[in-house]
Amino acid sequence: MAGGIGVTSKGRSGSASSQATGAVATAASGSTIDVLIAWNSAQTFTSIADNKGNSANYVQIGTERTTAGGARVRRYRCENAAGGAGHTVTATVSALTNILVLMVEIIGVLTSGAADQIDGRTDATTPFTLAAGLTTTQADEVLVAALLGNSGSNPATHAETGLGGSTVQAGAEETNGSTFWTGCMATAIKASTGTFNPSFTETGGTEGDVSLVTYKVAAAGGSTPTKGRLSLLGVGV
Amino acid sequence: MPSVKVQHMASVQVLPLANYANGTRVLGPIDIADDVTSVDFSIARCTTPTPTIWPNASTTLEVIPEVSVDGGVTWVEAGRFASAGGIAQGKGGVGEATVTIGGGSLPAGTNRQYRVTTIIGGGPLRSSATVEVN
Repeated sequence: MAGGIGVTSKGRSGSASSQATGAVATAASGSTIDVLIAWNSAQTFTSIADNKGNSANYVQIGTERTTAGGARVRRYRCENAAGGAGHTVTATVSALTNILVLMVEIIGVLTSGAADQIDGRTDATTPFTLAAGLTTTQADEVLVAALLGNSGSNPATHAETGLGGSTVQAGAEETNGSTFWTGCMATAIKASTGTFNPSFTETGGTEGDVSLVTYKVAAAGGSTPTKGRLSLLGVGV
Repeated sequence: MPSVKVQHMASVQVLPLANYANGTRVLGPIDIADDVTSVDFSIARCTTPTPTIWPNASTTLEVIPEVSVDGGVTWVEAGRFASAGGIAQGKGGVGEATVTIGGGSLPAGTNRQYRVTTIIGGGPLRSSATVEVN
């Protein structure tokens, strides 16, 4: 089956110590959950967990970064996640802070070793990009780029132009910069290898933490979600 | 609670200023307009000018927002969060936070309803709260 994006979700707060995403219906099995977490830099990260039994399987992507604007940023993935209705992901930090949690479900990718290329950095010059593009090693891949911004605008508007035909996932986007950390996740489906460098803009933003993960699509007949999800995709079983 | 749909850019008081004992409360439901994209629970915090509001870090609050798209038969969590009293910093560590406010993704649908469950521990908790609809 083709790789793609399943559901998306977010949760955010000001002055909380833990924050969960809104509940969504993920695939019963086989999908990858990709999560961006940001919080005030005075606090330290405690944990990531979900309510579908995957808590021990979240792997940090790259390293934690601290922005000049006062945020810390981490990114996680959980491959071959157990899912279902009412799926939430919760981030917990050491003390009261502003917390942003963005989640994207990636479907049709390998259930083990899906991540191909990974990088991230904080960029103080708009458009916000990585230092250099990443070259994929497999033709069929799903690209997931994330931006953590510092806009004080409400709404802040996001755009991504470096991946070639990406979609800013509205369900994994925060635009209220007067109250919360802003950011978004942008995705692109690729059918041939290439070099890709995300390029984000954010109205009212002067700094952006940018990260990119490319995920390998499973070969035909490989890992698949449950029958219900296939029906939604129009693929016969 | 109002019985008409709460529109975009509205604030609904759900808790007047008072001392709230430990325990669980369910606030709502309220009907939200179909074009609403976010609903946040907002509760006043302790600050230097307002030292009697929620002053103790040992007083905890768990907030569980939920949305129904079927007239209240089933409910979907919409971004639960947890907090505690005392003075807290604002976004990026700038200034003092005047409220704890939060929520998450809302399910799509029409004729949606919103409710929030609060769980207080180590109280009583003295504060006031609103639901911010956008």
